Amino acid sequence: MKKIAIYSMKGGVGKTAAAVNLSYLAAAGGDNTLLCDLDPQGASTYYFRIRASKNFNTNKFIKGGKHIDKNIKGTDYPHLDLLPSKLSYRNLDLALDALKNSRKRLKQIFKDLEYEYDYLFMDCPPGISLISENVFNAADIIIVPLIPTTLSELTYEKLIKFFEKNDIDSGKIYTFFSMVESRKTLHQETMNKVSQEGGNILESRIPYRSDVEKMGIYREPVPVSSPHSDSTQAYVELWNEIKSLC
Amino acid sequence: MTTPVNNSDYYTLPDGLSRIEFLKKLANDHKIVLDPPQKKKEEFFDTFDRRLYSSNLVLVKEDNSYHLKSLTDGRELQAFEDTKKLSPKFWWDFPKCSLRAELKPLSSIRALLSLAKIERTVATLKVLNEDKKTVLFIFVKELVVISDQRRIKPCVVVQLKNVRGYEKEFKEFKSYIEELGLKNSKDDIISAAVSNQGKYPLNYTSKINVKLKPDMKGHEAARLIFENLLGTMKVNEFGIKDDIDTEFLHDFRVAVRRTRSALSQVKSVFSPEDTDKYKEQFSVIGKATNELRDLDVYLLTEDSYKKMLPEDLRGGLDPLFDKLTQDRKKACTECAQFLNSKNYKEIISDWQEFLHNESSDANSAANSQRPIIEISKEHIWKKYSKIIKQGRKINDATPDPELHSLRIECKKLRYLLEFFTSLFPADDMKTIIKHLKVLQDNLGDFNDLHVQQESLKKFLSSKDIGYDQSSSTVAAAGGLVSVLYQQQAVVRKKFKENFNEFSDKETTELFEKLFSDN
Repeated sequence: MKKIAIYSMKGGVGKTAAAVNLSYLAAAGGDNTLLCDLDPQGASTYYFRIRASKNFNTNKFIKGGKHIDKNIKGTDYPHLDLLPSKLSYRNLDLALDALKNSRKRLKQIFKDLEYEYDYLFMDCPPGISLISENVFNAADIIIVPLIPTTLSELTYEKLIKFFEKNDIDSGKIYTFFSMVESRKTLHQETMNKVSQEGGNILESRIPYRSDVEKMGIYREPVPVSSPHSDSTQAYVELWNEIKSLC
Repeated sequence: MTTPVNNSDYYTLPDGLSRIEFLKKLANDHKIVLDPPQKKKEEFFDTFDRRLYSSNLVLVKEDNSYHLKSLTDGRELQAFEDTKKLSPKFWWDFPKCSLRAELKPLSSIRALLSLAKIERTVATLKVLNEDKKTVLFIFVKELVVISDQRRIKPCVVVQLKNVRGYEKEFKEFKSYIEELGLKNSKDDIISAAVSNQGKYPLNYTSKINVKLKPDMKGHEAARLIFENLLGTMKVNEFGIKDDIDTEFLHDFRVAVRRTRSALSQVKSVFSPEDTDKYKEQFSVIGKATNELRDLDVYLLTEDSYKKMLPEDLRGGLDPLFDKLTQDRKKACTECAQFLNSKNYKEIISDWQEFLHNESSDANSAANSQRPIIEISKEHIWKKYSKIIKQGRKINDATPDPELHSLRIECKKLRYLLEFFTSLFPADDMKTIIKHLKVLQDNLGDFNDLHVQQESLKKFLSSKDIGYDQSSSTVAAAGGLVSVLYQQQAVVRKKFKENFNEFSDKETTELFEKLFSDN
């Protein structure tokens, strides 16, 4: 099972859109895929029209095993399951902090799912916290969407520094440009600059499009609601690129 | 950790509820999305005795591609695209591919028959909850069997498939469906298709399949056995006439031989006149099919014969097998002519009449009214004692014909055990037959090797082949004779060992317990 985290320190960068569409495309290729919604806002859970069971909560999540098994839900699409998020995930940091091995708990939890799924996607909450550290340790690949602006660039640099300081392999971080408006000079300039500075920059770019923005209305992955659009095409290319890294 | 729950349940519609009415009812009671139905034509293949089906498999042809699928979950195991339109009949007609390798041990020497052609329409329905989330899938499959342009009543299978995490909805929907009168069933498309068509029997077996009761009168039990054998003969006739594969004739002949054996061995259940008459008539059937079976056996040995020879000599056998193939063609036509003849048809209808007409039973016959349990014990015990006596006399110096004679006696005993097997404990009969089989195999191999040598020698001395141009043919056939001769000697050496096992204390005690009245 390959574990892929979609992470950004900043909110509103197209993280959930990427998690939903990429996991959909992975499953559409016939691989058993689980999307794990770790964000207490539960946007990907909402996109798939799923509600977590009343009994499910943070404590059950960190216990793992049958508590997770019982709460995984099938989406409307073959091979794609989702572990829904709960609002109580906002306390995930505190709950993790109380554990002995507080930085690697997520990795342990996911071990149980090893033989059931080919791909596991994590839709992560923004910020840099204990849960983020757990994600960094658990993931094989960390995908960071980057809006080509100066501010995004700064947070990306901060992330790299954090990895180095905490002795986590920053080689598993890959970025792609998200919500790209090719007519904006600033976007072009930033993309050129970041690309020249090195690091793992994926070639595929996700354009700023209304069909991606409207996912909240359709509540469907973009390849389902607008299969022939250039956003779908962009996600397909992005997925192929990520798949080749696995 | 448990594997994800994957539930599929299959249902059939009750009489009086059509597919359309069912769909309307669903749409009325639930929030449902219907995907456009998909139409597919399929053809199902299996051997006459359903070897794939008994391994829980099915071979499906769609357009030009063949798919080997699991019957339980429809999973595809192997596939082959017949781009060259080979229309394969046997596994060896497929070009080298994994489907061919999979079919080889399954179908063996049997042909893959087209059992049914169907047209399948699958409609996918999604049941939604208040969030418009799919909580359950329904596949409504309609199968129409197309047979000789006649359309037979469609068969509808409703499959429910759960979505993980929505088990409650699945359970509720199942009770809803059951309230509508739908009956739980298996996704047995092939039997549904085939039983609708009814062209071939579903549970064919060449084994004797009769349930006798110990106190049945001798003539009653005999009639049941004979009727069963006659049934086997009849269902195999078409396969011999159409030359589908060699097993039709084989099973047909085994039934004929068993009939003849029962007529001679189980004496005095019918009048002597009747017994003699039918013995004679079944011998006519046997003779008319001898040549074709002999040729079938030779041709089936082609590969193993060739493997016995060094590679450069193998080609020398080709003229022999070419000649045999030609002869077989002729024999096959003659055999089909015989089965279509007035003579054969009269023998069969006369025999059938006799079996059904109880008044023709001769009360005068000594065993006619005796309970079958007594008769069967008596015959089996007598035959067994004879074999033991005859077998003990055989040593290294005994001439071959005496081994052949013992082989015949063993075969007779085997038939008796099979006719009456339902009268005795199944486990004991299994053990006895297992022991007898080892001895029979030894004697059978010995005989086959003898017959093969004789026919090769006959071939070498026959004038009509014109083998004189080819010394390689003489070399190959000559080489083969010596290999067969050596093999025969090895088989004979093993006889004593096999016989001792059959006549050991354990087997003797079992025979005594079951069949001896002392």
